[in-house]
Amino acid sequence: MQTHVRCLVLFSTYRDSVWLMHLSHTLESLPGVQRVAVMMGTPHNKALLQQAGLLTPEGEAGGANDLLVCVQAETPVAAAEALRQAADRMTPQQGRGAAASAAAPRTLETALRRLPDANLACISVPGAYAVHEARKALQQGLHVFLFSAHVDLAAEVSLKNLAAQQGLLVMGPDCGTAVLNGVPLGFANQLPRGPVGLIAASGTGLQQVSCLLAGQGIGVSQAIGVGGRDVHERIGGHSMRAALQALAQDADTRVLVLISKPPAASVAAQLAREAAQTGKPCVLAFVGETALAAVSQGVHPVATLEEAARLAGALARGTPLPMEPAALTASHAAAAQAARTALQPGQRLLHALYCGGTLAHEALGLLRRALGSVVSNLDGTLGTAHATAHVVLDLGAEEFTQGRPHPMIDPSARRQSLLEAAGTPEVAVVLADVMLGWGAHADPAGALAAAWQEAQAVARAAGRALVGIVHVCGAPDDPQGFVQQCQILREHGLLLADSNAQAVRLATAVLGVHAPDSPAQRLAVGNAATGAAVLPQEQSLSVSLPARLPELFMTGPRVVNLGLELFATQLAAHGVPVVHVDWRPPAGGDTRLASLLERLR
Amino acid sequence: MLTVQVSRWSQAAASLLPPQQEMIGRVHSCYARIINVHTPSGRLLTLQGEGMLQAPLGLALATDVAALGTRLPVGALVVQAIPTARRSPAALRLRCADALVWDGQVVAQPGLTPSVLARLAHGLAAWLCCHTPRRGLTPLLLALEHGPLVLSATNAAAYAVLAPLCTGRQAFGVPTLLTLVKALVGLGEGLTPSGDDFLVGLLAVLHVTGFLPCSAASPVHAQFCQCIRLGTSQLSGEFLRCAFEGHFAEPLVMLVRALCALETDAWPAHAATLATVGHSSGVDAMVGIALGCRLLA
Amino acid sequence: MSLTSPTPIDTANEQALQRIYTARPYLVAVRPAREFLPQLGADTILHAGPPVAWEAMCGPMQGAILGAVQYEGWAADLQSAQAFVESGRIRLQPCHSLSAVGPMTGVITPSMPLMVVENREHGNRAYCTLNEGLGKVLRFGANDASVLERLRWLQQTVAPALHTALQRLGGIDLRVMMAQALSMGDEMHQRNVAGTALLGQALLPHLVRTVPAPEPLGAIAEYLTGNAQFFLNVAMAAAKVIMDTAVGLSGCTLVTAMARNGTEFGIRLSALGERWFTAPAPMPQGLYFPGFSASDANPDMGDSAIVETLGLGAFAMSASPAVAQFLGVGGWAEARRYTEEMLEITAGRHPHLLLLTFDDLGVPCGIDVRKVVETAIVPWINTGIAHRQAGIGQIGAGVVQAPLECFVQALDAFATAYL
Repeated sequence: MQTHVRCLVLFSTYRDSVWLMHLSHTLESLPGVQRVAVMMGTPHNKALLQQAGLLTPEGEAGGANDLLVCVQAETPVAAAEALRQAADRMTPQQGRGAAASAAAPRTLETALRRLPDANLACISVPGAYAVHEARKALQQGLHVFLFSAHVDLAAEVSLKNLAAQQGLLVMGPDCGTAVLNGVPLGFANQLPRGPVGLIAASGTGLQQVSCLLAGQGIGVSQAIGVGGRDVHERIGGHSMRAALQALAQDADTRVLVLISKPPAASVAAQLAREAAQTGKPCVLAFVGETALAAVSQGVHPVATLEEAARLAGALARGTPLPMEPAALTASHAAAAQAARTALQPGQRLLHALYCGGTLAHEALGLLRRALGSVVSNLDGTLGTAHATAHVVLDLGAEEFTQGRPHPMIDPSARRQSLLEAAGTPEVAVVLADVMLGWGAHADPAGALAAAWQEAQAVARAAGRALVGIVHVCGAPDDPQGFVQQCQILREHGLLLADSNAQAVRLATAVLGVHAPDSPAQRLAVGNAATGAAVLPQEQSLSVSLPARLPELFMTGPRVVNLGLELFATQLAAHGVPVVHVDWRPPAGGDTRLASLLERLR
Repeated sequence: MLTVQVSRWSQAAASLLPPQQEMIGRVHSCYARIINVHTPSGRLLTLQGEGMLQAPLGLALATDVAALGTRLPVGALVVQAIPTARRSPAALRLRCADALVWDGQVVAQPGLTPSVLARLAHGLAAWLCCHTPRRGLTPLLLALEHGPLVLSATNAAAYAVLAPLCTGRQAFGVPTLLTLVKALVGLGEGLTPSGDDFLVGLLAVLHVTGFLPCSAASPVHAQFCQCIRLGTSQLSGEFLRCAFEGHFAEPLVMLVRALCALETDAWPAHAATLATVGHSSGVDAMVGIALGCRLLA
Repeated sequence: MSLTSPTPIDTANEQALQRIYTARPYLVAVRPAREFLPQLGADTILHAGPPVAWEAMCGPMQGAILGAVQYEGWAADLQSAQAFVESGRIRLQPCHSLSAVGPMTGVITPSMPLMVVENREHGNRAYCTLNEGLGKVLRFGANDASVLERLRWLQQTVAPALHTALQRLGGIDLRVMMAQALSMGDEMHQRNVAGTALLGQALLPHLVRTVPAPEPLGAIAEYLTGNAQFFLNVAMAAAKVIMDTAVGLSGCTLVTAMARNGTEFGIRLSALGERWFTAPAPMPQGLYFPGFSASDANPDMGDSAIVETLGLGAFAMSASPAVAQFLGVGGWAEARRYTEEMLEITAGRHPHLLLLTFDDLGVPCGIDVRKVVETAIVPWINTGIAHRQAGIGQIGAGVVQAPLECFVQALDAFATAYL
């Protein structure tokens, strides 16, 4: 008699034994089915199935946490039918809830009928459409978390003006991170609640500072992203200033931190002035700012994210502010020396491979001060100088993410660059960031460690050693398991730094260069007590507290999500009321009709 | 956010959740009337309804857990209610403060001489052959008496490992244990494979005779953990790890304590209860206990 | 919840909805078409759907026209009827052009009795034929002697009896009756069992007292109670009289009619009055009676889509899981999804036509052409499937989607007029 064997692997599927036995019996009684095995895909079980002739290559792919359904039948059709019935019985049992039978709404309006008291729209649809959806959301009285990029300057101005009229806040465009009332939005970490309020025009900047604070046991009241371009001259720091007003009045916020790349001078001045007026101590972290002017008492400019976290932590605890800049610990210094001895004479270059844009930017500034010439894709100096200069790569930049996912989600992007570095004889040190948190890859350390092993093999084959320095940007409670992620990296021989700035110090130590202290930092710390405001007084339109923002802080977000479904899943995991919209481009993508509809609104 | 009272939990579970620690973990899986929660440190806690704790790291909730499970997606955050001002948002908050603690640790008992162990082995094996002759690994017991007749693939594999040990004259030692673990872990049907359940039963005997525990720092512990990590599912592995550390589910603990209470003969009732656990999990654990007693006698 | 002021279009749409919600249709009379439609001159025949020339008509429609010509006595047999029509001596125009509607071929001639529905709130009227029943009927293009005889029986015996009964009743409140039928599992397109029963119940005492003899009373009663789809025509006229209140409102983007003639599918937009926007009629998808298949089917046909235009039929599918199974759509969950999807493209909910199974939500009412184009979600219509050969009849039932093209055309025309 003919026999046909088919296997179905149900990944990460758990059902109790009685249920499994029942399934087994049901399938066995189907016409044409000769033998059935339903088992967890452990090594021993797969061996048994193999011996019994019931394991196919598909079944082989199953692991110890996966359920294997193996069927031997008289005909291929009977086998397929048995597996189909098995799959049918596996309809998800969890998380469906009352709305299970309802199809997802197609528009914002319908979503609002399902969640009439929604107060936030989370928008991650393509940039061209994002503006329109954001505008609709604002008109409906919702704050907007605008993850989408590729929104032009004029549209951003118009959205932020509309928001101001409505008493609402626009977080974005190009805003990757926020944590509102402890709820992570976008790519964000699982932070404890506490007295520090963060406002950032930089996603990974926000992540680094908030994680360093979490590592000190200090929590966050609100972490508000405002979008990468908010501090541009024409936007004038609109959302940042609005958020500042709100946090100034928020009873749970005792310390403020503003984070961005150096803004336009007028905007920086405005921010410093308004920060001083809040009456709460405020850390100004304009990452990579080289010329920090002294400001009013209570406003503390710093140049690195690490420093921002140190100061904010001290201010939150009420302990004296650190006077000395951070330096390598003795054990780190020793480790650096030890690593140095393993290098070959020709190895003198550093390749830094970053997922986080702001972290790359920060590293570039610090490395240039320490090492002199460093090229990067961040400022078009890259050229083809890989073999002869130090390199800092932002792998999340557009040129690397055309048609492929961001390196925070897909670690294979970095592997390629890592192998290239290993194959370049002059490269001594590789520097990398490992980003944890919601939205990020499930095991970035594991992926990097695997790629690192390959890289080391490449280097070793050429008679070289390679020094790898990483820092893990994560909070203790992050889904990936902060402690385990660090452990994996250490086990694979990577040197672990506590922060991005420290990773740079470690790298320069390995290269045998003594990193000079940033003079700008000392200046700021030293002058904090003078109390004299020396910035130019500029006139500009005042930005008031958005009337409906305190309400958002009080009740927490209730969200309509348009775009990436994983954001909705993340929110649901935190018990946040959320409706996900099955969004499609208007008029099926027909731009003529779409613009017609726009005019007929 | 749902807030639920924990009415009862095991000592082992309680020790993993100190009162000031808000984070518990994320939902790992839901089925029937069970919700498993994965902690950041890699442990699996089991939330269930009222009744005997079915897992060593078990928490009995004062609510309809089946209904709760349909409302919690995999990955949902679970936190503990702690008395601080700000609460972290989560899908489920558990109030543990007034929960009754049940101590499920099996510790060395006096009076378990080889002859006593032999008697217990014989008695339990007889009970199983009588009440559950065709379930799980019970045919193994018959095969060890009468030779391997017709055995299922799983049972045949287990027989191949256990028969030599039963006929051999060597004392049971750590190497034996590790061999058994490597050979049986992840073997068989069921959410917790039969081999794992067998090992859990065996480990109970090792604890009650004082053979275990060994400290967590010993290389045996590390080897054991390595073996289960690679050989079986996270869920079953958690049961094995707890068993290695002396913590078991309530039905099994009740049976072991009854077996060790030599003056009474109340253990068959507990055996009957344990036999209803899972499809064959309880039975397989009892086969492990019976053979464990025999090997140590 | 919107924080910005409504646009002129939103205001116009809201006005239209208010008229639709407050319209009160009453079934008041059954009289020959010429009596209420004097514009229906001799040599004029009305048909379902948007305008269509004789040559372009599908088989069933042509068959019905030929039958109608004989019924009126303009020709004595089929051959001469054919010659009569081809000579161009009759005018063919849509039922809709005279505030009438007809199911399937929807043919109306001056002598044919029409049910008259009066909107007592706003004063307008609408008309529909009496449902002929099942089997060989004019509405599927049959035209032999038995068909004509039955039509005459309706004209001479049934219509006067119904009319007298209605006069005694003083009219029947159709909005209340439709709301009741909705709560009893009807969606009023493919399922009208409850509506038919309620109507029979209302008319029975008066028929018994006014029809003189047991036969024809028995025959009339049999006719009324033996045809489960009788209420369809009543619901269609009611829907027409309601939707007509929204015709011609400046700046309003709501659809006032959807209709098919077996060749083309057409819609009308409130602001653009009587203009039709058409596209080829789609083929229904559904279940076929034994012995028939998709290759036998006629393209979608009939004015009955006026029922969906109001928000009943497929829009109210969640009230009628039984119809979902009949149409091959599925069960309760699938039925509910149809209603949910239609909520995406409608501007309002009818406050008097409520869906019990949907938390008493009013039926989705007022199809907004802007939302249709924006979401590319088009109206679903529950429909019977006719054999493409004249006279054979219904061969199945299913669902059909209005062609997006009609709505795009309508939107473009609206934009041209208003921007």
